[in-house]
Amino acid sequence: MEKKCSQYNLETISAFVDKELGPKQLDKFACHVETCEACRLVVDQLQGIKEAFKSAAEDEMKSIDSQVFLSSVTAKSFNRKPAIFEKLKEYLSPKPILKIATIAVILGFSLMYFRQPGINGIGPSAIVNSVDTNMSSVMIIETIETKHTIIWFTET
Amino acid sequence: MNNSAVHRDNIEEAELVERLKRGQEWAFAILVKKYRMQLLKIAYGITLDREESCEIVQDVFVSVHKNIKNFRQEASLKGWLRKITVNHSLNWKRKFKRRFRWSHTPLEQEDEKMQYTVQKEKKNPETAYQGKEFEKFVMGRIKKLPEKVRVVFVLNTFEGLSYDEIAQSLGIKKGTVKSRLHTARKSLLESIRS
Amino acid sequence: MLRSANTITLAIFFFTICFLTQAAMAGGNVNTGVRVIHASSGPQFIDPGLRDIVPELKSVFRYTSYRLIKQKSMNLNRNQQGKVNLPGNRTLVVTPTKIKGKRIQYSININKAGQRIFNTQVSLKNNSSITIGGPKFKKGYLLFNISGRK
Ligand SMILES: [Zn+2]
Repeated sequence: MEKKCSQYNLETISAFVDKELGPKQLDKFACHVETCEACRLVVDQLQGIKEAFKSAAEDEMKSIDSQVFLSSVTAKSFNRKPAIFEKLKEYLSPKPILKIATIAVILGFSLMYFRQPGINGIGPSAIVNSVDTNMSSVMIIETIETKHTIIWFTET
Repeated sequence: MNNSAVHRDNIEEAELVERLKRGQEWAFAILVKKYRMQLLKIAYGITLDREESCEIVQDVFVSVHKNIKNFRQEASLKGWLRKITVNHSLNWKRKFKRRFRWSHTPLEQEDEKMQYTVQKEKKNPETAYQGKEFEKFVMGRIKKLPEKVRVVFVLNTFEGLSYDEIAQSLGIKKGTVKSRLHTARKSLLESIRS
Repeated sequence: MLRSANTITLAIFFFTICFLTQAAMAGGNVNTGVRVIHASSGPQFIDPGLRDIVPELKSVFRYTSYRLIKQKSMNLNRNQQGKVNLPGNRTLVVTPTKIKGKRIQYSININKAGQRIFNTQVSLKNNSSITIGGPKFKKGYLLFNISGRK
């Protein structure tokens, strides 16, 4: 569909985009690309892909709150209890009534924590002793943070 | 007040490392502030997973805090951080979970392809390789690249490293870097052309 | 005289109630909760009734919508079956079989059209939960979050 260049292959165009061509080759190719539509298209496409990948990663990572990140990583590094309020900020609604509700939930959890020393202790939430199914596959996983056990089976 | 804050942000890397070695918390905050985004992008480029990238980079900083005493001043801090991030991102223990998560992403590729093709026809060639639809389409294809190919592509694209630097940083040959980049580009180009 | 007798009767009555409750608890009454969740890639949504578990699930799944389609709380004796009807002619049957230390042993079955298609035996930490998932449902999947408290 698209025209192909008879002089240069993808390796050279790649090296040009990556600024890896030697001075002589660079001069030659820079002149060529001025007049060769096929090469210019590939350069455009390669640059476009680069930019798209960068921008997608940037957009995705921008959504991570820098303050929450910092307080969480500082807490982990300096062996402090994670700032639970900071973490919960994400889930908190600006409505005060919900804030109160959240605080109540936190209080509830802390009470449970004291009453039940085992609840936050190590070990999975459930030990899977056996799984019996004629499904094609079963997977048992555990979340990293709270070791919540999940069994996944594929229904055929 | 403001001045001293600026000064703090600009302290030399050597000074920063020195302060990190002394376990000063504000130095750690500067380190995180300075490199967080860069490392997040590397992790995301390799894992293509938001939550996991966040987890990985947090682990990277924690391990930097723990191991800063072993850091040799003549090495570059940036390079060291990059290396730890790449290693953490390739960690096999995480991969199992990631693969599981991926398998739970519905395949929207075909839809994306259609959207993108429509867009390509509507727009002129200069803007055909831009925009969110193109981005989404490219990301769908990047996901299909083998991980070892993607790592090279990430260091090339995000970090702008030379072939030699990539080779050195991953402990592979320069020829391997070239061929992996070629693989990545060939498959991406094929997908946008077809 | 009469008054103190009354007080004593009341006290006895009170202690009996306490004792009975205690005995019933020790006898293995297990509070079992089942939440049926529909996870899909639809518009971003988290059911308020799932706030405790969704962050957990999100660390493993990539769905954007989590709907609570059914919730059932049952007080089960040892070896007593608790049944929850599920979409697609399926039934979930949870049975506490043993209490050992801080864990409750459950037998969990999923039946489809009367036939058992899945069984697992798990030892659930008291006051904790397990999530089982798999059946396809309405462009997504069904997940069952089962919690137990003795
Ligand atoms: Zn040409």
